Amino acid sequence: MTVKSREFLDFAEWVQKADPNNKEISLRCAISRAYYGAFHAAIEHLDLNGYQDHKSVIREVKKRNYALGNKLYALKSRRVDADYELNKNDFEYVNTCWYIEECKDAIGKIKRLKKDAI
Amino acid sequence: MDTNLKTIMLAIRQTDDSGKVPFDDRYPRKSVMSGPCRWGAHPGLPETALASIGSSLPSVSDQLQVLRNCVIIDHGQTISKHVVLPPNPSKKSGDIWRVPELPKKLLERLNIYPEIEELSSEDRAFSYVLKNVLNLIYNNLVQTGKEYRIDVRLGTDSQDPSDRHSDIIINIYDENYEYVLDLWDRVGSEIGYYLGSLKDAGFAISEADKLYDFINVIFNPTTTHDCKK
Repeated sequence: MTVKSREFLDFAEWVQKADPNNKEISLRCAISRAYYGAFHAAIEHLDLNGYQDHKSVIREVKKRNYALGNKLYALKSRRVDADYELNKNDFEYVNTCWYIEECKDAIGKIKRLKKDAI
Repeated sequence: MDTNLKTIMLAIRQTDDSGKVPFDDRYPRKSVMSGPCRWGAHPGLPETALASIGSSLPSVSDQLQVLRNCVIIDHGQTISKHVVLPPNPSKKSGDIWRVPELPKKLLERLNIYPEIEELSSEDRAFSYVLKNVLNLIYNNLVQTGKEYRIDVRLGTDSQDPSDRHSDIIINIYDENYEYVLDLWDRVGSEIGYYLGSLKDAGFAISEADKLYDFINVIFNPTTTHDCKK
């Protein structure tokens, strides 16, 4: 593997900080990358390599921890908006900061879930 | 809905070998528009079968009593010492699935979208579980003293329209995101525990699993006063 899940989150934060004007496209891009940080963290840390689609990964996480599965589901919904709902205009800097914090929180809990399972 | 249309829709509804409507057919949108449920938890089940189902349920109250007194341990962390699970159903089988009332104060802050209302009116088991989940959420929110508004809507994935969920979105007025995330963990774990306990409360395993997967609880912190009525 040449890219780690953590790098998606790092890139999301970099994109967000790199644009001093907080253009909507930067915020959407940051949200999208941050989600993939959490999504790949679930695959990487919970041994879900056989699960290819988002639905299956979220369902599996939810089976192991309901609240965490709900969080990943909510993050994915927002990511879909960021990537596909181009007419939505509620992408603001503050919301994006909150979203990235949510992703970090989810990744931390995914790691803890793995640790507890061992 | 027109009676003739109902009859036709009921006739074309697929059934499995036992004559039950497959559970998978019940939560997609098309099934919301399907024929009436003769009995909530198992639509299409002959009424004569109710007695046998009811007889398997006396342990429900005992199960809930056990859960009520427990301390939830979630991955090594104690998340709550005061779990308030839904009230004991009566020992009378007729009361087991009685859909609980929602507090007036919750109703004032609750917005259930038409698709969910429709599904709830057609599917008594879903209605029963949804109302219990809403009561659990309410009990937690009351303790926080925060302003909130709850939307319950049918969540769909534009990339995968077959992927539908009942999303309970709790808009909570609090600028402390960390606090909201912790609250989400706590409330989510209680609800997950409740939904996980449905198997022990008389639900078929497949049905309990479906409900566990179908219902999502999402906290949405808001810094505006939109959630104040």
